[in-house]
Amino acid sequence: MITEGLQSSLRNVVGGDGVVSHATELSVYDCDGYTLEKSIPDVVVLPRSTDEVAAVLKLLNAEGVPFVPRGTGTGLSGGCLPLGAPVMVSLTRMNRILELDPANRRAVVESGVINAWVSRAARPHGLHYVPDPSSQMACSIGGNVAENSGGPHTLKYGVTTNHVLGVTLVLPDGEVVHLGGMTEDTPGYDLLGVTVGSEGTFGIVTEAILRLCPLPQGYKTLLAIFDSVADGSAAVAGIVASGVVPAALEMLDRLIIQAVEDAFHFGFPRDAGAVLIVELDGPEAGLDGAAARIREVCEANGATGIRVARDDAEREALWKCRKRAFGALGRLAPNYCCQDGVVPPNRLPEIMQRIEAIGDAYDLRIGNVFHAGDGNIHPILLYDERDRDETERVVAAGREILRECVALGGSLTGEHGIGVEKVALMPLIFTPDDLSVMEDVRAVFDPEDRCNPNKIFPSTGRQVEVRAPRRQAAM
Amino acid sequence: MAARPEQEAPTAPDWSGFDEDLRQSPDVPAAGTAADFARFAIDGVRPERVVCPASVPQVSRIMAAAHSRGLAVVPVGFGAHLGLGAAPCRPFLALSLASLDALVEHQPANMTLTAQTGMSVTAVQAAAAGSGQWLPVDPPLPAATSVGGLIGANLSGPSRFSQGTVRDLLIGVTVVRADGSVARSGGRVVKNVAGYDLGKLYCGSLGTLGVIVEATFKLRTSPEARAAVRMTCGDVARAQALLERILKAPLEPSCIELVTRLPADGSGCVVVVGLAGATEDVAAQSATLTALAEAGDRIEHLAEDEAHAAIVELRDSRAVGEAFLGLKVSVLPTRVSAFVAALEGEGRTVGLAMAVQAHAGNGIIHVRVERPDDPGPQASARAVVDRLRREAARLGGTLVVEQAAPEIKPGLDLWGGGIEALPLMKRIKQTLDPKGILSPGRFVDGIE
Repeated sequence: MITEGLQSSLRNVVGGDGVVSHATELSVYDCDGYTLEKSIPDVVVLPRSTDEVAAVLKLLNAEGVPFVPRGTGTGLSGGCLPLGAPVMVSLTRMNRILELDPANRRAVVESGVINAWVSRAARPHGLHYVPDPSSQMACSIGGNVAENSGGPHTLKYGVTTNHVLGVTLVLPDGEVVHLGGMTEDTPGYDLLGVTVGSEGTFGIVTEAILRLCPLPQGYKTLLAIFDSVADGSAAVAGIVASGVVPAALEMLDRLIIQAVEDAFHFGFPRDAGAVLIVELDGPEAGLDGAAARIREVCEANGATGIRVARDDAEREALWKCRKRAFGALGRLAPNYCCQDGVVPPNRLPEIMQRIEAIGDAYDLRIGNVFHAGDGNIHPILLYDERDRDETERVVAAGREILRECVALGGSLTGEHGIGVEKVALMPLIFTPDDLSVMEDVRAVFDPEDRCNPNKIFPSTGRQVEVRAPRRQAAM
Repeated sequence: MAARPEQEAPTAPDWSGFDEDLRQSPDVPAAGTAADFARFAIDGVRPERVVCPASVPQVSRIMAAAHSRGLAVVPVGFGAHLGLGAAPCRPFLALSLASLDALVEHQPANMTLTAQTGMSVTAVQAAAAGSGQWLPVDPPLPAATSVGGLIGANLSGPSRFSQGTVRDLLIGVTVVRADGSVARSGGRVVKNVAGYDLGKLYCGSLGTLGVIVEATFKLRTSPEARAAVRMTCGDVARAQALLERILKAPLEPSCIELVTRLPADGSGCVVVVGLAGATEDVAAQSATLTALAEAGDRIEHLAEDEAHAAIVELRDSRAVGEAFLGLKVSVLPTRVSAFVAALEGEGRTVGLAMAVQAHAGNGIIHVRVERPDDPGPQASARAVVDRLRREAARLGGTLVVEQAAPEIKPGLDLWGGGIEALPLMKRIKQTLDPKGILSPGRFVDGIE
């Protein structure tokens, strides 16, 4: 528990309004976008600067108190769930864009800055920040750095780690270090590279130097309609093999199409088995030729119709549907759990078949809306958390899906992270020797295991077993 | 080779015990030839032993034996890039990965390729090309560059402007640790965030953290058409202005290179812009580029083979032959001309001739300093490096000495001081190589 003395010291650092300790206010922080487990911190601290973060961590260090960093809480693997960490450090008040250098295509931002703000600020200069998680209107750059977030447009342009040039990291003892920098190839080990995607276990990233990219000269966005997910998956494999690299290649299955159509009235065919959104971008001159090739591949794989977005407004409407698909599921069930497995793209037809079989076996409704081009699936398992039996079936079915991904040569997570959710599954892809190197590296940054403890590594001894919804997650 | 006295091993290294350990192992790795001993000499220092394992278990056994006896090990590929970094600070064993050269798996449908690290970059490209793909990285001398060297020395070329560097392409690694245990990270799918991305740590680590034995990369489709536009400007200032126009124009160049000689020899400052993509794209972009030139700039359009040859020359020129001094400077792209101006001033003051080649779009400047005919006191290599490093720092950048003639190298600060995260780096080294046996003294701050 947090002593009164520590609370008052924390208030001295961040101001009275920067420490949350009332139970009702704390309940806001009981989970992120992964809602199967919940746990409330003792206090939430909201620093306003790197110096304040450093001062807070020094205080916690002096008393040996574990803590968990949190951005805006949109994560999908329970990465900022406090487990044995009484103090949560929220970065939401560090939300300034510090510098925009269009000539060098760099932006320097505080980690509480919302992803979409960066592109909005860069747009007048003909630039944008490429990684675009579906939650980009709400998720923070700090969270993106922690999880190495992806998004639809990372197929062609790479994920967060390919677009971060430097970070300011406050280590668990309060020391501030700068990793990477404004320039490329800074001498020494690439500590930046291993910090991105470390799920907030190395310390607290307070600032990031981001690479900006020119806005594409043109877009061509196609919607291909299929009778079945199997046909759509075959088309995805065909597109990847065709050599055309779309900026984005997304699939929605029937359940999702219907939910999205009910919510946004875009004009999706409600009876389609699957649709593919294929976006091409780049210099105008090449777009028509590439679109023709995509059209051929889709038709060869049984597309029953292909539409091309007529203008920017239609393109934006289409992306709105895709990016808000999760939200639209509220119409179908009170709760959902989104998995994030990866398979080699040519195994998509098999994994989709297996997911369907798993849904049948566990008597669950499973929708699919995902980044097909890189094989990053997002099966969405619908449930009602008041139904304990259904909740347990969701957990079991989710794990079975991930086991199948691994069996097909894939991975447990493409962009959401291990968090608390998939800790117990890590031995499926890593040996104890593999994991021990990672834990050794973690200990370099966080020797006392106080920064976001009980995440990622199964050796922490915690088995993630969910027995009842709304329970407090226990160690 | 001068080992720092306080760090000398208390007892003499037990090479014969090591030899005996290997002889006892179930399948004995091959020993290197006389040519290998010469090839793997670092700054003139020959290895005590050269071993050429043909399997990962053999690598493990070699490391376990070296580890138990505290013997220094330098993992090597073909030896082409050993001039980067200092000589090892202790007598060493060269662990040649050249026999570990199998293509483990190429999945064209998934655009991934897994190779053992003794495979050459050229062989990887040949394997990928069979399916119309390539590993989008172009290090100098690819036929003489192993996959392990590509990763360990963090080599890159002109295409880094559009494709990034090896850290952006590496999606999985298998590493034999200092004690011989084997550990993997990443995987074989292009998108994967399970566990820490340890592959990044090994990129550019110069063999100081582990022996990389297998690597999986993302591939790209080979472009349908390639072209280049070579634009020769009167001076560097005009070239910089042209570069800035190029960066703002609706173009997707594959590379943006700047080449010049100092002192100016009348050949001007050359900007080469590579283009790759669909045939119609490339043609349209060539036209756009032409319109960006100023009156007086000379413009040459290079098509397919000619363009390829021009880019290959840019890729390899900095690595061909021994330079007196080879520097790699990294600044912001807008500061390239400012640094080149500083180079010009330095060259004039101390009487040095230099060839400058910049990946200008990335702010990476390679400088080859020619051997001075009659070096004055001002031309001391150490002073030149210090002054240029200060200038790079003033511009917000860094300078690394990539190559130096044997007579000047021992006195040079190769990596530069003031690396803020050095204490963390030392702890990484300490935890991954607690006995300090991997390439000791080769990397930043002589880390060992």
